[in-house]
Amino acid sequence: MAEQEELVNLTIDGQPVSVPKGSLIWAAAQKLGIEIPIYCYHPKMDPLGACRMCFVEVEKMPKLATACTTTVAEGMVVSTTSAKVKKGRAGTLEFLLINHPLDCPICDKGGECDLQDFTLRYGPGGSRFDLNKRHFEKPIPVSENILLDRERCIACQRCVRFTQTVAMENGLVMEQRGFRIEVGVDPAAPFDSIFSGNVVEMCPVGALTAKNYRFVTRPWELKKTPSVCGNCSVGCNVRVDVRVDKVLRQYSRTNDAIDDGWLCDRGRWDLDWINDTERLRTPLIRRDGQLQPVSWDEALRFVAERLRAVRDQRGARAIGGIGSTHTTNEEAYLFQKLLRAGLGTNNVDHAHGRFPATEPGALPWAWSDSIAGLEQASHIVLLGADPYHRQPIVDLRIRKAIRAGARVYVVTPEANRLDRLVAGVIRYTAGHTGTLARALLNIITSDGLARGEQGAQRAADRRASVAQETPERAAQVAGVDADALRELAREIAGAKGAVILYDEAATLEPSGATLAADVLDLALITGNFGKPGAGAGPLLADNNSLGARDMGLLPDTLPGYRPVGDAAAHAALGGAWLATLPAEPGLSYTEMLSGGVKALYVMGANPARDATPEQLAALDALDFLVVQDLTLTETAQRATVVLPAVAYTEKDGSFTNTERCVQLVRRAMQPLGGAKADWEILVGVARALGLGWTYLSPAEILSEIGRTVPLYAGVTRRSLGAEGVRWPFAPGERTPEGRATITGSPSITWQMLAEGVARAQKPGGELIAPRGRGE
Amino acid sequence: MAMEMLKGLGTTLKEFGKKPTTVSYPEEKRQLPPRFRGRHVLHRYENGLERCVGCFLCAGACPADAIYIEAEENTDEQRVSPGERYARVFDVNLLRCIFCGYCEQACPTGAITLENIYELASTHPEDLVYHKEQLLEPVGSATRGSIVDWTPTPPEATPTPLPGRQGYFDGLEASAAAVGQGDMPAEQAVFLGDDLSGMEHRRRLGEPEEGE
Amino acid sequence: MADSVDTITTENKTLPLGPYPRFVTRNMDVPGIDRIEVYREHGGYAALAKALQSFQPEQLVEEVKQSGLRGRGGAGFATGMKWSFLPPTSPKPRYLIVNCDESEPGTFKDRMIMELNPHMLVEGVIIGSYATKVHHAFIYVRGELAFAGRQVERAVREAYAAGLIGKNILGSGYDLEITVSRGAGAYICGEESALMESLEGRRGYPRLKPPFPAVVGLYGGPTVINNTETISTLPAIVEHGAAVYGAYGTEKSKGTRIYCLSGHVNRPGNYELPLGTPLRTLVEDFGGGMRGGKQLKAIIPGGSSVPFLLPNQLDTPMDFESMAAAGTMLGSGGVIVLDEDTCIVGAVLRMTEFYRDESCGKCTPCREGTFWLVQLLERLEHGGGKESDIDLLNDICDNMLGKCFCPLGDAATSSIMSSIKLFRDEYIHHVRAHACLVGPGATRAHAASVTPVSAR
Repeated sequence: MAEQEELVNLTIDGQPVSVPKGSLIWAAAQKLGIEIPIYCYHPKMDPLGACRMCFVEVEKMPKLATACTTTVAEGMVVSTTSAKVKKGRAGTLEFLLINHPLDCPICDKGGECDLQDFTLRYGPGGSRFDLNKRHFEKPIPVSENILLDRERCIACQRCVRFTQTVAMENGLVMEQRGFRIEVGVDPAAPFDSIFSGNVVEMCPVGALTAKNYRFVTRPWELKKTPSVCGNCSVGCNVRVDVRVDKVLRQYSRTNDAIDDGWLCDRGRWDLDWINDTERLRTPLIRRDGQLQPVSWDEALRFVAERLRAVRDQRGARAIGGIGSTHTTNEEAYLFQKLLRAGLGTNNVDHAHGRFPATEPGALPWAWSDSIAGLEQASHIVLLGADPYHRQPIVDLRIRKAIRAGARVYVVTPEANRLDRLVAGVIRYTAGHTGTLARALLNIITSDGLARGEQGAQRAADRRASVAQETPERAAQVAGVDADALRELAREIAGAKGAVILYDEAATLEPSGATLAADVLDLALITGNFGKPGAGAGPLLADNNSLGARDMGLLPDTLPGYRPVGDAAAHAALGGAWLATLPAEPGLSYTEMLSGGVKALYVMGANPARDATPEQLAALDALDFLVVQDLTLTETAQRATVVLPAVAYTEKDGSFTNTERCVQLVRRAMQPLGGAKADWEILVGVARALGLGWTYLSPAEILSEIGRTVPLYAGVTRRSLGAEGVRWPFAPGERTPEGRATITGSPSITWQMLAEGVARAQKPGGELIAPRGRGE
Repeated sequence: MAMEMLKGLGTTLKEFGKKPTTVSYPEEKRQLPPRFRGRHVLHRYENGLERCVGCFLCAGACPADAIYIEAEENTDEQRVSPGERYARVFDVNLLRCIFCGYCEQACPTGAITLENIYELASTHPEDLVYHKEQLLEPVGSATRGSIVDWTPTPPEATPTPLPGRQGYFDGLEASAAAVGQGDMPAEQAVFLGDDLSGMEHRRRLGEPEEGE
Repeated sequence: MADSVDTITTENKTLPLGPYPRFVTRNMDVPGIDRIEVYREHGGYAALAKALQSFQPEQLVEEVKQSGLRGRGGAGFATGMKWSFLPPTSPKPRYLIVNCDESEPGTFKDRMIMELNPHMLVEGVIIGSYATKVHHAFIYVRGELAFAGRQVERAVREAYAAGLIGKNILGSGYDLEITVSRGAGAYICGEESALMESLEGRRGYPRLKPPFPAVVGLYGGPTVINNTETISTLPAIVEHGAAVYGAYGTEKSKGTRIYCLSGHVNRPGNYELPLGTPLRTLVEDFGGGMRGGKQLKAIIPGGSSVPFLLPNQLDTPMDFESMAAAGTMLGSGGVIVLDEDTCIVGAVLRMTEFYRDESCGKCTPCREGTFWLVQLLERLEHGGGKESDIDLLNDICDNMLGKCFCPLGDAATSSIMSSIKLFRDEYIHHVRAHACLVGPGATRAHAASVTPVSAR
């Protein structure tokens, strides 16, 4: 912590503790490891003081104080164990239990229920209540996914406050009053938020339960593994809960820098694809026009033979590989290594947005700030982005920023869930995000809105390229309000710190070829760069979209964004891999799908799903198609060989999220019988090809990445820790045991822009800052 | 030498007239003590509903990990147990079971007891995973099983948790969701008792279930 | 501050306006006094003119401090002191709220003021707002008091029309807006922070304190909240001067207040008496004694939220300090008299039902405790209770007392705890005889025929 905060000293149960001024007694006790039971309080929400569970005795206070509402004071003496406290807590629990049904054995919360736990620890031994409990109709649905059992509710209002103050969406409300109080939904405002699952998790009792988790298991039957969600590019930290062979749910695992303790419903419940009964359990080889089960040995040998044959007959350039945005960094790395070092081709790519070609030493195309940084932004601009549906937890963080006073502008073709909360909404014809970005640049450069020396310089560089792209032209082409654009440009230019985010998908629009560069320039020219709460970048689509790029799943780029033509990188990698690497850039994703290759190796991708008829024909015309996937996808149905792979819950590895945070994924369950992790398959193919690969675990591969990829210099499984690290990395202090560590960067700074994000890679090399390339 | 032989013969003769300790199984079967723990039985209520609510507590208590359950929700069309939840799958792996009776102790509804069934030999290991259908007692023959022999009688002074009168606050109708109250008609307003032993106690004393 | 009125303290009995002056209730019985013309004919709004012309706001605050006026809502906090807690400057506008959400059982004085003489309230609001430099005042009228609400709304309309509210009032350069807001009928909204929540359009839940309303109140601005009667006293104080008003009452409880006499007396009603008047005077002289010549059993001196007094305490003076010394509180001035035929358990049950129904449900002890207390009291009252229930009642009250979020929970316990202390025998009789000691429930047959009260 940079600033020295003012500390307050107090004593809790005889133990001295110092906490920042304004902290709650609860937080101070937490710091000491003293448990103070809470129901209504939630560390991520304002205190309410309703449940009266967190009583503590403070010297010189006549009444018991509630630890969740009382702020610390210098010299305070707090007791959490006095007789008065014990009676107070036991009294509250007795009150809570008089109307709580005794259906713990069939309650989904039983076993992880705060009411059970605290009753055991602080409650009275028995109840003196011998009358009738209040009864309600058993569970009633409050949303499509959530059931409410009002008998169990203890009216802590956590759920209500979450939907109203955190999610800021339609949701739950309190109805009635007094002992008739109940949680309910306004029929006119359905509880359809994508964040709804959080109320199930935060409900301290079993009042709110998930429909798809209903009665499926009990908590003690679950194996709980800390991991990272693989359903979108945010990379929320989760706990994967598995029973025997099924993932039943993911629970949030708080990482303040990424998810702030929340998880969206997709991450929480969209796990059926892992439990799919249609999953492949054995390798398949096409014989007599039919895919037929074979052994792994046979399949791997067959793949190697055929790949070798194609290479020998038609040369290495006839082989291509399409990687995945879902597989781990290790697997992406191995995949391109197999193609480049093993088969000798740079034909390796994956489905991704359009980003201008990488130049040596240039800044990679990534979000230059962080999710947590949004809270410090004064302005947030969403350009053609819909984080609510595509990166929900980023949307939730934007809502938090709105509460902190950020002015948010939603610039999208379609209605957005944020519309009613934000400072400005601009609509335009779909497909013209790029046009708008250039119009904004036009306003900035022609109205002299540049800030700072570097900004002015860059504005001068760009002025000519966008001279024609006036807002009036944008109004004509994209149906946008030119004045609104002008106002937005001025807001950005005058912002204390603006974050401009665009969706990766917007770069694929006809007008989006230079969107990435234009938006970056917009931030650079207006001085919104290189400080917390300012920056620009794409919101990527998938859990490892950025990792796939980082690991060199690109035809023109080696791992760590080094061009294939870069002699130094070439030599270094070739040396490490003991191979001669091709120096020519390979074929791109679309080129490979347009008949550019004769043999195609597809790992975890499904190009056939979105393919044009020509591309489908080209796929069918391939000599040889290998597909590694979980199920028989459209592509796999056309394959010569299908190799069954496993989901991220069944393997170790690492993902890099959209804000550059590299995080560990842990194996939460046994892999499906007969299927193998992608990295295992790749090692098997390599060994069948006669390459001497000896990787025994993803940890080993990650360590190799840490040695050979400058951007990931120093990365090991250990150094990533429980909460991940954001690249660019710097060497950290050694641990007491002498282990090397790394530290991350919350944002990409001007200095990094000038020196390159991976300093290790540039002994005297010329560094080029990104420009508006592609014009 | 002869002396020793006679001594041995003497022992034989001494035992000759006594009642044998062994029995000629399987023609003849031994009387088992009431608390003998053999194979599990799943019980029903008088109304035919299953006592088991699929709570997994027996599986959690099992030191041998012998019980596997999958629970599901009762519907109005298909009501298996009172309340909301029942066990769709209930497997006991008797090869793992150590017959400790913890499951019986853990059960909140008295659904599972270890009875005096001990003829459990098989040449096929898979036969020894007993499924729910095999464990359940047939409809119309509801018993409480050995739990009656195991449950201690509470002392006279134990305050009864059930009230003597009803109706001051009648609230809404109780569902039978209160676990262990499943033999009360589900539609009637009922008191929700605190524990099974209190009810059992009253039943044994021959008192009416509800009040004065 | 007592120095200036030393010459006319109660000791030498030189009371300027006779022994029983009418400050708040004066002209209350004049026909048509609720019309602005009639009100002005009888000297209405003269105090306002005087206040605006001859007082600076600070002087007014000082004057009110001098008068010794204490809040008439229940807590009895010194009004001038409360006003001086407002920060001198703040970025947000400051507000004055008049708490007309009078819902304490046994209290009906504010209702009378609003229904009969609403202009006095309006005049008080303007004076109070001027003193506290507020430019927007709110009058929050209890929802059930529909007629009172209409009267106040009309009075405000008339005052607007007469230029007494709005811009540049009476040429003084002082601007004020007054908004009348009608509640939706919740006892809890009489609690000041819940009232503000309700005014802001949310559920009436009490707010976390601190910050206190004087610092962060309505819409985040510094806010002063006063009771209807307190505010309605201001014109009289301005008119007669602090010294005259302060001459009445006792050393620490000055002035007069309205006592709402109800229960088994011959002439129930509102009586304005100087503070410190003995209970006996109110009950016997003003109330005309017990109805039907019955014996007095108990008195609740300050609305249903305060402990009972016994007949032998009838000479207790009705001021804040004496009442506290007698183990009860002056509260809102609602004096409820119970005669010998009253079943104490039944009376307590009725009061506790009120708190159960009016609990907002936010905090656990109040929500669940009142529910449980009512169930136990019902069982006792109807003859089904156990002796252990009596101590259980006490212990539940102990678990609620001081542990609730706002004072409602505490208020619910006082009648129970004090009745068990004073009338334990009657409770025990209910258990043993399965019937009430006195009253219609004294026979078993009656007790058995009572239909159980069911919660709606």
